[in-house]
Amino acid sequence: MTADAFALPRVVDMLDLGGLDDPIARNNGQSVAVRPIRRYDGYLVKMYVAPLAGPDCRQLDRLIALPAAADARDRRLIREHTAWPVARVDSGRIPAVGCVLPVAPEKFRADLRLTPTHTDRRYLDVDWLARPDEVLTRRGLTVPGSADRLRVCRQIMEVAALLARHNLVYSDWSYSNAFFSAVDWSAYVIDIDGCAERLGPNVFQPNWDDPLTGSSAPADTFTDRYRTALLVGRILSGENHPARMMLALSRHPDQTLAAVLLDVLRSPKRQLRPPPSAVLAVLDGLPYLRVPFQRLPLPPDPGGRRKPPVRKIPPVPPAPVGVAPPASPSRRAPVQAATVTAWVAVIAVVVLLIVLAAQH
Amino acid sequence: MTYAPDNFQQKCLPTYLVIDVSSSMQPYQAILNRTLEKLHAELVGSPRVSEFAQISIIAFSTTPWVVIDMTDLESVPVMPQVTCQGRTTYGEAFELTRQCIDRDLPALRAHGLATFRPAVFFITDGAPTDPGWEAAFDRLVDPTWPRHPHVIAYGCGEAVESVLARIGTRAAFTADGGIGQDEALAAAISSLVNSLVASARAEEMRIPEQVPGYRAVKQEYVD
Repeated sequence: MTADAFALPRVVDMLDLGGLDDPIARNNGQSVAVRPIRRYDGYLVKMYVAPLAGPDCRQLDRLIALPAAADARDRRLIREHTAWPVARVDSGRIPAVGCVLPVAPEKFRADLRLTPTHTDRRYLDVDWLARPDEVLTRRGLTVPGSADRLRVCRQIMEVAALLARHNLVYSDWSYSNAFFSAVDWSAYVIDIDGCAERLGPNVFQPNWDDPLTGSSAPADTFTDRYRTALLVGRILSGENHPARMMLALSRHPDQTLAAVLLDVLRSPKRQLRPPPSAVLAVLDGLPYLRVPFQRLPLPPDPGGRRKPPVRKIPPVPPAPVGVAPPASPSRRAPVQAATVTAWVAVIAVVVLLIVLAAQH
Repeated sequence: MTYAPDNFQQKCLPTYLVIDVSSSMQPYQAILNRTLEKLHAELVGSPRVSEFAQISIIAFSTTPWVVIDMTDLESVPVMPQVTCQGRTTYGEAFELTRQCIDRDLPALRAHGLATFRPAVFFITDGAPTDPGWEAAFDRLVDPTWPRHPHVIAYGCGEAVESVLARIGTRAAFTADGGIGQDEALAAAISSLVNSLVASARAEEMRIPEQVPGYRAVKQEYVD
């Protein structure tokens, strides 16, 4: 089932949708619930917190109409890699109480190992790719190679470039609004119905704020340029800390790709940020036609934190052996033992490296 | 013009789960441990939340102790199992929480993280057995101490409403008796997870207004 195949007109009444399944999401941003439509397999209805006001309603209508006027390549991209709205949902005389969206394909889900004995099949947010490889392994996910990461980035940039071509502002480029497939390393962008033309609400998420856009200012395509570069930088580097990500980018083997992304992220003016089409061109192996300007300096290294700031984790038996209150003031003894063990291991590795280096 | 000068510091919410594991909790020890496992699974299943919420777990009975030091729970392979025994000593638990905050916040910052005001989720099923616990609590939430946390209190079983009202600086909830204590414990932890998810989205502390099986307690202390 694809977006093109939705059998109802672009405006439908809630009653015409028929029965709905239990919500798959609740109270998520602008929606109160997202529910599968029983009669139309592969489609969801997203119910808004409040009906869209006039301009937003008209904006939604234009979004729904856009694929029909797009060229074949854009239509394919929209159909296969976005949850693009296919119908506005009215409720009697109240317009735009929700919209109909396609369900993301199954290949974007995987079994996530949450505990040693429990897995849950879930959509894979692209932000998993900003976690270290060992985290992916621990969760039972396939660890991507650098070519796989590039494929995911390319797909996201292709959607970003499509939106930019149509002057659409997505704004909420962060964490969980795009999925990736560990089958073919493609990507899928959801919640397209929230796009606005030219200016949109500046959706804030921790660690995604654009340093050149005020919090009270609306988001525009320049804000999107920053956030998509941040997202792609996180995926490429496997780093979620902004400073570490940029430093990792500066050392990326593909220095042309690093240059165009750092130009977006460290431009002194929003208007100097290269557009998604320029990043996409570089991802496609085309040259980067750079407008010369002086980038803002890279951030200082915040200090090593690939390891979390943990001073101790109690020795944890997998079996239900009690962690009881300490019997004596020496309650930190196990920690010290663990720390000593860790240091012994580190020292052993250092000694081994020195010995190996001395032999060459 | 730059609007976000601290943009290169990753933002995080230091979160303390302070749990009563006194002997009165013994009948619910298994459900408590299962609920902690569920908390772990919920957080590690969401990169967004586990990136934002750094968590420490403190258990208390006759004495308090740190079960898990401040960390991204992703780095904890399996949750430890807690054993319930002893009295319900609040004062030392608050004192230890303050010490942990004083130690953890500089450590987080030293690792390039910008910290929001800490959040303490306090779960108890009984009345404090130590007279004078209030002094330790007042030191914890002393507004002149720059690191004073928000406290969200959940009470079930024999927890005293007036005590919860005193402790919860942002919110306090008491089990309404409509559900068993095991369900009440699970609901409290679910509320914590919901808070963290909402806070991670909003970049500020968000507390659910309602917790299933609980009713809100009118607060005395508002920071």
